[in-house]
Amino acid sequence: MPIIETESLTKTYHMGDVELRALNDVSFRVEQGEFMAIMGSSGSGKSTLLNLLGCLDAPTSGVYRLDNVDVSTLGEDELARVRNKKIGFVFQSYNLLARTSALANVELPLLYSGRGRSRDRAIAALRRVGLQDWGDHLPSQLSGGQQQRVAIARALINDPELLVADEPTGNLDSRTGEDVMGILQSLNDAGMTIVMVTHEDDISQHAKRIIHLRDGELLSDQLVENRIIFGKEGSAP
Amino acid sequence: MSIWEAVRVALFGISSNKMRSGLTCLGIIIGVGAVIAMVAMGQGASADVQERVKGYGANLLTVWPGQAVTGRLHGGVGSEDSLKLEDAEAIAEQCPSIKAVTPTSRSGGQIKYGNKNTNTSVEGYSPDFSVVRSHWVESGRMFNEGEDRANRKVAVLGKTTAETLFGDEDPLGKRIQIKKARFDVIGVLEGKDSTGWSDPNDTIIVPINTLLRRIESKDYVDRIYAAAVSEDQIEQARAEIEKLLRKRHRIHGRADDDFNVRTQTEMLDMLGGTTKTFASLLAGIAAVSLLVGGIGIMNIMLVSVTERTREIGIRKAVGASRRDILLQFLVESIVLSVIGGLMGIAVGIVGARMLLQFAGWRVIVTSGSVLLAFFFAAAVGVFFGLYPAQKAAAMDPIEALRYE
Repeated sequence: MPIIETESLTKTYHMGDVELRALNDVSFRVEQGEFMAIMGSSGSGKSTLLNLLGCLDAPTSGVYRLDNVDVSTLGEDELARVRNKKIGFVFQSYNLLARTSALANVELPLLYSGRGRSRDRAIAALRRVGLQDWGDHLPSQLSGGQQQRVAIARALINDPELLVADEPTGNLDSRTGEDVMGILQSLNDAGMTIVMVTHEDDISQHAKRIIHLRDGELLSDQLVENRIIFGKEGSAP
Repeated sequence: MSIWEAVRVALFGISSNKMRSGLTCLGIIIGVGAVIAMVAMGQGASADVQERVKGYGANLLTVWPGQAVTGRLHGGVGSEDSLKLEDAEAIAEQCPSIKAVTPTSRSGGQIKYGNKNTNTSVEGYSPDFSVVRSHWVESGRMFNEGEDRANRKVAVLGKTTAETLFGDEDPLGKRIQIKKARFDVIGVLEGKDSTGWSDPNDTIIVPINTLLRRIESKDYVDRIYAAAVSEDQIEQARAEIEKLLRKRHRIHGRADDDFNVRTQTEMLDMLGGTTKTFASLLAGIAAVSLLVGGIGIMNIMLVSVTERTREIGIRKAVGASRRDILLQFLVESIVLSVIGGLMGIAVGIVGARMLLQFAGWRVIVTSGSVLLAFFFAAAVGVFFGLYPAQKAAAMDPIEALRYE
């Protein structure tokens, strides 16, 4: 069953009189349980694609079906609801609220889901990333890797269909980055569909499938042959 | 997001920058405090005027020279010399609904006794002064009809004037100098409560004939006070006076009166109107400061929205709708203004007390003015919070997340 299905996805920006085609006629499917990396140089459209897949933005034309629902025509508030219920975000710079405890950060999506805060759920989500004892700490009291794990816990709290990760290891050293990839892999093993943007080859090798973009067009789409598995001897670079 | 969750988030936002929140509140505190204190002052002044006018007795009629107010044209009340001493005498003799009449005219200047002097008003009255104005002699006596008719130079002092000129000395039988003439002090009036801007005890009463011939040398009076027999005969008394004066002044047919009779109720309306203007002026100035406080809130909220662009981006990314963000910032500005409003109420009440304590002004704090100021403050929070909140709600999540 496809979680993501795009047909001729196109996004154009207008900068004065110049029309910039950030994404041009991109079509692909992502099945449930896939772990896909999106690669490409800067300006290739990978961030634009991720924003569309994450429902932060709507395409200029084309169709995007998320979990068999066409979300390409939804309005702003409907997109917000989709982001809240079906998508979990992991950003390069973690994007945690400062002066707010890890626990409260994890609870944040619950505020907008109509369920209200739940300490139990937040602790359960933190346990999935191994930080159940760090809930009362502020982001500034946590290491970069820990902050990213809190961000992953936040992404998981509403049981999303899709995890969208934008350079999740970009701000981390390679060891910590490896840990974070390990968490993503284990989530994927448990059935979570993940789409991740990266420009690092060895990070992309943790995924099961890689698509390359260039100038807003789909260049290649291939399965990873020698996948790096976290914790497997000799696989770490 | 529920409203309580929004309040919780707002309180968190406010408490995370206490200095700034405090300063923002200060604008509202001063605004609300000023509104409450100023309205209290205005209402105190208006209650004052009412009591003062009522203090002269409800059955008092005042005759002014000059035309009555006709339509929108003001006929220059008090500017004409149409009222004569004889008019007052005629009213006393020929109007059955009137029990006492006194004409009055006012002079003033330097008053001397020995090496002491004061500058106060000298008012001429007939011996009926006390009955008409309900102001009685405390020691000594009032001048009599004969002294009035004979232009005798006798004076009755107000309490304050007596104290200023004589201190502990007994003023009775002493001579004071009013302008060029020497007057015998024959009495001192009782003290009346000072209920306004002028002290009713700082005055000198002399016979009206003496004032007109020895001090001022004129043949008309400023106004005539008349006391009706009873309160329900006021309208009757007014009709009698008007009929009599028209006859005496030879005004026929539809010609306008050259005088003007007012009852205490009308005086109350007139003076009440003045104090109302005064009170609303004060309240208006205070309201402006509340408005300025509101602009302060808007200013801070705009800064806050810009500073928290990234937070807004994060909240939107995890599913906050426009409405959620709008609510969060709107509630924050309302909470700020409500906190400021509550503290402003305290400041206003304390400020009003201090006006009473130190300036001696009468103040009346009503629950109405407190509620009004409070709701006005809350409305200011909504009004000035709306624009920044809308700005926050309209942010594009992608742009907001990219904001450094």
